[in-house]
Amino acid sequence: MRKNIAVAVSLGTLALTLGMVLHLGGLGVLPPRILRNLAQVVAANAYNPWNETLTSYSLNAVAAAIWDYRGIDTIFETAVLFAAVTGVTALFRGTVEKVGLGGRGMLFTLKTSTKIALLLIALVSVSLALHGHLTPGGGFQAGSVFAVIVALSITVFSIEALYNAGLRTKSLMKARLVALALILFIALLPLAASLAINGVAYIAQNQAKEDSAFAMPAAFLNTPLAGSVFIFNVLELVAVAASLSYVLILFAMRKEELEHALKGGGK
Amino acid sequence: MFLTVIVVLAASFISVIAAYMAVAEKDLLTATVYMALLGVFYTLIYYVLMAPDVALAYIPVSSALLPLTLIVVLKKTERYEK
Repeated sequence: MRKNIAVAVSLGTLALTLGMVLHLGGLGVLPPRILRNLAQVVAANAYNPWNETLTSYSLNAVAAAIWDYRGIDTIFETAVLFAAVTGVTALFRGTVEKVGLGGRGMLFTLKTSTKIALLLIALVSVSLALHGHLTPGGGFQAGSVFAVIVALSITVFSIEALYNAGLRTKSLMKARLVALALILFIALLPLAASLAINGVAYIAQNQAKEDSAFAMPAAFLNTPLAGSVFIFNVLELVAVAASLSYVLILFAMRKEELEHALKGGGK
Repeated sequence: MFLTVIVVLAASFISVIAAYMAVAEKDLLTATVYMALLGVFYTLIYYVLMAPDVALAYIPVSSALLPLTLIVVLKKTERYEK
Protein backbone atom coordinates (compact mmCIF):
# COMPACT_ATOMS: atom_id res chain seq x y z
CA MET A 1 0.00 0.00 0.00
CA ARG A 2 2.74 2.47 1.04
CA LYS A 3 4.80 1.48 -2.00
CA ASN A 4 1.80 2.15 -4.26
CA ILE A 5 1.37 5.65 -2.84
CA ALA A 6 5.07 6.39 -3.30
CA VAL A 7 4.96 5.28 -6.96
CA ALA A 8 1.75 7.27 -7.52
CA VAL A 9 3.19 10.46 -6.01
CA SER A 10 6.38 10.14 -8.07
CA LEU A 11 4.31 9.65 -11.24
CA GLY A 12 2.25 12.70 -10.27
CA THR A 13 5.43 14.73 -9.76
CA LEU A 14 6.61 13.66 -13.22
CA ALA A 15 3.31 14.88 -14.72
CA LEU A 16 3.60 18.12 -12.75
CA THR A 17 7.16 18.73 -13.97
CA LEU A 18 6.22 17.98 -17.58
CA GLY A 19 3.25 20.34 -17.29
CA MET A 20 5.42 23.16 -15.93
CA VAL A 21 8.04 22.65 -18.66
CA LEU A 22 5.29 22.65 -21.29
CA HIS A 23 3.81 25.84 -19.86
CA LEU A 24 7.20 27.60 -19.92
CA GLY A 25 7.66 26.62 -23.59
CA GLY A 26 10.45 24.11 -23.02
CA LEU A 27 8.87 21.42 -25.25
CA GLY A 28 8.45 23.51 -28.38
CA VAL A 29 6.48 26.61 -29.36
CA LEU A 30 3.08 27.01 -27.71
CA PRO A 31 0.05 27.45 -30.03
CA PRO A 32 -0.92 31.12 -30.58
CA ARG A 33 -3.55 32.60 -28.26
CA ILE A 34 -5.50 34.36 -31.02
CA LEU A 35 -8.70 32.94 -32.56
CA ARG A 36 -8.08 31.01 -35.77
CA ASN A 37 -9.99 31.87 -38.97
CA LEU A 38 -12.63 29.13 -38.64
CA ALA A 39 -13.27 30.06 -34.99
CA GLN A 40 -13.58 33.72 -35.98
CA VAL A 41 -16.20 32.90 -38.63
CA VAL A 42 -18.23 30.76 -36.20
CA ALA A 43 -17.99 33.31 -33.36
CA ALA A 44 -18.98 36.18 -35.65
CA ASN A 45 -21.93 34.38 -37.25
CA ALA A 46 -23.45 32.14 -34.55
CA TYR A 47 -25.86 34.94 -33.60
CA ASN A 48 -25.75 37.66 -36.24
CA PRO A 49 -29.11 39.09 -37.36
CA TRP A 50 -27.32 41.25 -39.96
CA ASN A 51 -25.96 38.27 -41.88
CA GLU A 52 -29.10 36.23 -42.46
CA THR A 53 -27.62 33.63 -44.82
CA LEU A 54 -24.86 32.45 -42.45
CA THR A 55 -26.29 32.88 -38.95
CA SER A 56 -28.02 30.19 -36.92
CA TYR A 57 -29.54 32.55 -34.29
CA SER A 58 -27.92 30.45 -31.55
CA LEU A 59 -26.12 32.37 -28.77
CA ASN A 60 -24.14 29.25 -27.83
CA ALA A 61 -21.53 28.92 -30.59
CA VAL A 62 -20.85 25.27 -29.69
CA ALA A 63 -24.52 24.34 -30.15
CA ALA A 64 -24.54 26.29 -33.43
CA ALA A 65 -21.53 24.29 -34.70
CA ILE A 66 -22.88 20.95 -33.42
CA TRP A 67 -26.45 21.10 -34.73
CA ASP A 68 -26.28 23.67 -37.54
CA TYR A 69 -22.89 24.08 -39.22
CA ARG A 70 -21.91 20.41 -38.61
CA GLY A 71 -25.44 19.02 -38.24
CA ILE A 72 -24.93 15.89 -40.37
CA ASP A 73 -21.93 14.85 -38.21
CA THR A 74 -24.03 14.99 -35.06
CA ILE A 75 -26.89 13.06 -36.64
CA PHE A 76 -24.40 10.30 -37.50
CA GLU A 77 -23.04 10.41 -33.91
CA THR A 78 -26.59 9.86 -32.71
CA ALA A 79 -26.76 6.92 -35.12
CA VAL A 80 -23.58 5.48 -33.51
CA LEU A 81 -25.25 5.62 -30.07
CA PHE A 82 -28.32 3.98 -31.62
CA ALA A 83 -26.17 1.14 -33.00
CA ALA A 84 -24.37 0.64 -29.66
CA VAL A 85 -27.64 0.37 -27.73
CA THR A 86 -28.98 -2.01 -30.39
CA GLY A 87 -25.90 -4.19 -29.76
CA VAL A 88 -26.66 -4.26 -26.01
CA THR A 89 -30.27 -5.20 -26.81
CA ALA A 90 -29.07 -8.13 -28.94
CA LEU A 91 -26.76 -9.25 -26.11
CA PHE A 92 -29.60 -9.21 -23.57
CA ARG A 93 -32.32 -10.78 -25.73
CA GLY A 94 -34.59 -13.13 -23.84
CA THR A 95 -34.65 -11.18 -20.56
CA VAL A 96 -37.96 -11.19 -18.70
CA GLU A 97 -38.95 -8.41 -16.29
CA LYS A 98 -40.20 -9.97 -13.05
CA VAL A 99 -41.98 -7.98 -10.33
CA GLY A 100 -42.04 -9.32 -6.77
CA LEU A 101 -38.50 -10.61 -6.36
CA GLY A 102 -37.93 -8.34 -3.39
CA GLY A 103 -35.57 -5.40 -3.06
CA ARG A 104 -36.40 -2.91 -0.31
CA GLY A 105 -33.81 -0.26 -1.07
CA MET A 106 -31.93 1.81 1.47
CA LEU A 107 -32.91 3.64 4.67
CA PHE A 108 -36.01 5.85 4.86
CA THR A 109 -34.02 9.07 5.48
CA LEU A 110 -31.78 8.34 2.51
CA LYS A 111 -34.80 7.70 0.31
CA THR A 112 -36.43 11.00 1.26
CA SER A 113 -33.29 13.06 0.71
CA THR A 114 -32.69 11.31 -2.61
CA LYS A 115 -36.20 12.24 -3.73
CA ILE A 116 -35.35 15.94 -3.26
CA ALA A 117 -32.05 15.48 -5.11
CA LEU A 118 -33.83 13.70 -7.97
CA LEU A 119 -36.17 16.65 -8.43
CA LEU A 120 -33.20 19.02 -8.66
CA ILE A 121 -31.39 16.72 -11.12
CA ALA A 122 -34.49 16.59 -13.33
CA LEU A 123 -34.68 20.41 -13.30
CA VAL A 124 -30.99 20.72 -14.24
CA SER A 125 -31.41 18.21 -17.04
CA VAL A 126 -34.46 19.85 -18.60
CA SER A 127 -32.96 23.33 -18.34
CA LEU A 128 -29.73 22.11 -19.96
CA ALA A 129 -31.77 20.94 -22.94
CA LEU A 130 -34.15 23.91 -23.16
CA HIS A 131 -31.30 26.44 -22.73
CA GLY A 132 -28.86 24.48 -24.89
CA HIS A 133 -28.85 27.15 -27.59
CA LEU A 134 -28.32 30.03 -25.11
CA THR A 135 -25.87 28.70 -22.49
CA PRO A 136 -23.37 25.80 -22.41
CA GLY A 137 -25.17 22.50 -22.51
CA GLY A 138 -27.17 20.59 -25.05
CA GLY A 139 -29.07 17.45 -25.79
CA PHE A 140 -26.42 14.85 -24.98
CA GLN A 141 -25.42 16.50 -21.70
CA ALA A 142 -29.06 16.83 -20.65
CA GLY A 143 -29.78 13.22 -21.56
CA SER A 144 -26.86 11.82 -19.58
CA VAL A 145 -27.80 13.99 -16.57
CA PHE A 146 -31.35 12.61 -16.84
CA ALA A 147 -30.00 9.04 -16.85
CA VAL A 148 -28.38 9.83 -13.46
CA ILE A 149 -31.94 9.84 -12.06
CA VAL A 150 -32.36 6.20 -13.07
CA ALA A 151 -28.86 5.34 -11.80
CA LEU A 152 -29.58 6.86 -8.37
CA SER A 153 -33.04 5.28 -8.23
CA ILE A 154 -31.59 1.82 -8.90
CA THR A 155 -29.08 2.17 -6.07
CA VAL A 156 -31.35 3.86 -3.51
CA PHE A 157 -34.88 2.57 -4.23
CA SER A 158 -33.95 -0.75 -5.98
CA ILE A 159 -34.95 -1.77 -9.49
CA GLU A 160 -38.25 -3.10 -8.13
CA ALA A 161 -39.38 0.44 -7.32
CA LEU A 162 -38.65 1.52 -10.91
CA TYR A 163 -40.89 -1.30 -12.22
CA ASN A 164 -43.64 -0.29 -9.80
CA ALA A 165 -43.31 3.34 -10.96
CA GLY A 166 -44.16 2.12 -14.46
CA LEU A 167 -40.71 2.33 -16.05
CA ARG A 168 -40.34 -0.65 -18.38
CA THR A 169 -37.59 -1.39 -20.90
CA LYS A 170 -40.18 -1.69 -23.65
CA SER A 171 -41.53 1.83 -23.15
CA LEU A 172 -37.98 3.24 -22.94
CA MET A 173 -37.18 1.50 -26.24
CA LYS A 174 -40.28 3.03 -27.82
CA ALA A 175 -39.40 6.54 -26.58
CA ARG A 176 -35.89 6.17 -27.98
CA LEU A 177 -37.09 5.00 -31.39
CA VAL A 178 -39.69 7.79 -31.63
CA ALA A 179 -37.11 10.46 -30.70
CA LEU A 180 -34.59 9.16 -33.25
CA ALA A 181 -37.25 8.99 -35.97
CA LEU A 182 -38.24 12.59 -35.16
CA ILE A 183 -34.58 13.73 -35.38
CA LEU A 184 -34.40 12.22 -38.88
CA PHE A 185 -37.76 13.78 -39.74
CA ILE A 186 -36.59 17.27 -38.67
CA ALA A 187 -33.36 16.81 -40.64
CA LEU A 188 -35.28 15.85 -43.79
CA LEU A 189 -38.09 18.39 -43.33
CA PRO A 190 -36.40 21.09 -45.52
CA LEU A 191 -36.26 18.62 -48.43
CA ALA A 192 -39.98 17.90 -48.18
CA ALA A 193 -40.74 21.63 -47.99
CA SER A 194 -38.58 22.35 -51.03
CA LEU A 195 -40.30 19.58 -53.00
CA ALA A 196 -43.66 21.14 -52.19
CA ILE A 197 -42.70 24.59 -53.54
CA ASN A 198 -40.27 23.22 -56.16
CA GLY A 199 -37.24 25.09 -54.76
CA VAL A 200 -33.80 24.32 -53.30
CA ALA A 201 -33.15 23.14 -49.72
CA TYR A 202 -30.45 21.22 -47.83
CA ILE A 203 -30.55 18.33 -45.35
CA ALA A 204 -30.52 19.61 -41.73
CA GLN A 205 -30.93 23.20 -42.98
CA ASN A 206 -31.73 25.63 -40.16
CA GLN A 207 -31.96 29.20 -41.45
CA ALA A 208 -32.40 30.61 -44.95
CA LYS A 209 -29.42 30.28 -47.31
CA GLU A 210 -28.52 32.30 -50.42
CA ASP A 211 -30.47 30.07 -52.80
CA SER A 212 -33.07 28.71 -50.39
CA ALA A 213 -35.70 30.61 -48.43
CA PHE A 214 -36.65 27.74 -46.09
CA ALA A 215 -36.13 28.71 -42.41
CA MET A 216 -37.01 27.20 -39.04
CA PRO A 217 -38.52 29.59 -36.45
CA ALA A 218 -35.69 31.84 -35.20
CA ALA A 219 -37.49 33.32 -32.20
CA PHE A 220 -40.46 32.51 -29.95
CA LEU A 221 -42.07 35.50 -28.16
CA ASN A 222 -38.86 37.58 -28.38
CA THR A 223 -36.74 34.69 -27.03
CA PRO A 224 -34.10 33.38 -29.45
CA LEU A 225 -35.09 29.84 -30.41
CA ALA A 226 -32.32 29.06 -32.93
CA GLY A 227 -34.76 27.07 -35.09
CA SER A 228 -33.81 23.42 -35.45
CA VAL A 229 -31.02 23.68 -32.81
CA PHE A 230 -33.66 23.90 -30.06
CA ILE A 231 -35.78 21.09 -31.53
CA PHE A 232 -32.74 18.82 -31.98
CA ASN A 233 -31.60 19.51 -28.38
CA VAL A 234 -34.99 18.50 -26.94
CA LEU A 235 -35.23 15.37 -29.11
CA GLU A 236 -31.64 14.39 -28.27
CA LEU A 237 -32.51 14.70 -24.56
CA VAL A 238 -35.30 12.15 -24.99
CA ALA A 239 -33.19 9.83 -27.16
CA VAL A 240 -30.08 9.83 -24.93
CA ALA A 241 -32.02 9.68 -21.64
CA ALA A 242 -34.11 6.73 -22.87
CA SER A 243 -31.07 4.89 -24.32
CA LEU A 244 -28.89 5.24 -21.21
CA SER A 245 -31.74 4.40 -18.80
CA TYR A 246 -32.58 1.34 -20.92
CA VAL A 247 -28.98 0.10 -20.79
CA LEU A 248 -28.72 0.78 -17.02
CA ILE A 249 -31.92 -1.16 -16.26
CA LEU A 250 -30.71 -4.08 -18.40
CA PHE A 251 -27.35 -4.09 -16.56
CA ALA A 252 -29.02 -3.97 -13.13
CA MET A 253 -31.43 -6.88 -13.79
CA ARG A 254 -31.48 -9.71 -11.23
CA LYS A 255 -30.35 -13.29 -11.82
CA GLU A 256 -33.91 -14.62 -12.12
CA GLU A 257 -34.67 -12.15 -14.89
CA LEU A 258 -31.53 -12.99 -16.86
CA GLU A 259 -31.82 -16.81 -16.59
CA HIS A 260 -33.41 -17.29 -19.99
CA ALA A 261 -30.94 -14.90 -21.67
CA LEU A 262 -27.95 -16.68 -20.10
CA LYS A 263 -29.10 -20.01 -21.59
CA GLY A 264 -28.84 -18.54 -25.08
CA GLY A 265 -31.93 -16.38 -25.44
CA GLY A 266 -34.41 -16.75 -28.28
CA LYS A 267 -37.89 -18.15 -28.08
CA MET B 1 -4.06 33.23 -15.96
CA PHE B 2 -1.65 32.27 -13.15
CA LEU B 3 -4.52 30.78 -11.11
CA THR B 4 -5.59 28.72 -14.15
CA VAL B 5 -2.15 27.14 -14.43
CA ILE B 6 -2.05 26.40 -10.67
CA VAL B 7 -5.51 24.75 -10.74
CA VAL B 8 -4.67 22.69 -13.84
CA LEU B 9 -1.35 21.53 -12.37
CA ALA B 10 -2.87 20.60 -8.99
CA ALA B 11 -5.81 18.77 -10.61
CA SER B 12 -3.54 16.85 -12.99
CA PHE B 13 -1.22 15.90 -10.08
CA ILE B 14 -4.13 14.45 -8.06
CA SER B 15 -5.69 12.78 -11.11
CA VAL B 16 -2.42 11.01 -11.99
CA ILE B 17 -2.23 9.70 -8.40
CA ALA B 18 -5.88 8.56 -8.57
CA ALA B 19 -5.27 6.85 -11.93
CA TYR B 20 -2.28 4.89 -10.61
CA MET B 21 -4.13 3.91 -7.43
CA ALA B 22 -7.12 2.70 -9.49
CA VAL B 23 -4.81 0.40 -11.46
CA ALA B 24 -2.79 -0.84 -8.47
CA GLU B 25 -5.69 -1.37 -6.02
CA LYS B 26 -6.68 -5.02 -5.40
CA ASP B 27 -10.11 -4.19 -3.92
CA LEU B 28 -11.98 -3.28 -7.11
CA LEU B 29 -14.73 -1.38 -5.27
CA THR B 30 -12.11 1.04 -3.94
CA ALA B 31 -10.63 1.23 -7.43
CA THR B 32 -14.05 2.33 -8.71
CA VAL B 33 -14.09 5.15 -6.15
CA TYR B 34 -10.61 6.20 -7.35
CA MET B 35 -11.98 6.30 -10.91
CA ALA B 36 -14.83 8.57 -9.84
CA LEU B 37 -12.26 10.85 -8.14
CA LEU B 38 -10.26 10.88 -11.38
CA GLY B 39 -13.38 11.94 -13.25
CA VAL B 40 -14.07 14.81 -10.84
CA PHE B 41 -10.56 16.25 -11.32
CA TYR B 42 -10.75 15.81 -15.12
CA THR B 43 -14.02 17.76 -15.02
CA LEU B 44 -12.23 20.55 -13.11
CA ILE B 45 -9.50 20.66 -15.78
CA TYR B 46 -12.08 20.79 -18.60
CA TYR B 47 -13.92 23.61 -16.87
CA VAL B 48 -10.79 25.68 -16.21
CA LEU B 49 -9.58 25.19 -19.79
CA MET B 50 -12.87 26.77 -21.00
CA ALA B 51 -14.68 23.65 -22.24
CA PRO B 52 -17.90 23.81 -20.15
CA ASP B 53 -19.78 21.71 -22.71
CA VAL B 54 -17.34 18.82 -22.31
CA ALA B 55 -17.36 19.27 -18.51
CA LEU B 56 -21.17 19.05 -18.44
CA ALA B 57 -21.10 15.81 -20.43
CA TYR B 58 -18.27 14.42 -18.29
CA ILE B 59 -19.83 14.98 -14.84
CA PRO B 60 -22.77 12.51 -15.14
CA VAL B 61 -20.78 9.95 -17.15
CA SER B 62 -17.72 9.86 -14.89
CA SER B 63 -19.32 10.27 -11.47
CA ALA B 64 -22.62 8.39 -11.82
CA LEU B 65 -23.07 6.19 -14.89
CA LEU B 66 -19.59 4.61 -15.10
CA PRO B 67 -19.28 3.84 -11.32
CA LEU B 68 -22.80 2.34 -11.27
CA THR B 69 -22.01 0.09 -14.24
CA LEU B 70 -18.73 -1.02 -12.63
CA ILE B 71 -20.37 -1.66 -9.24
CA VAL B 72 -23.08 -3.78 -10.89
CA VAL B 73 -20.38 -5.77 -12.71
CA LEU B 74 -18.48 -6.25 -9.41
CA LYS B 75 -21.64 -7.39 -7.63
CA LYS B 76 -22.30 -9.99 -10.31
CA THR B 77 -18.69 -11.24 -10.44
CA GLU B 78 -15.97 -10.81 -7.78
CA ARG B 79 -14.94 -7.90 -5.63
CA TYR B 80 -11.26 -8.78 -5.05
CA GLU B 81 -8.60 -9.14 -7.70
CA LYS B 82 -6.37 -12.19 -7.23
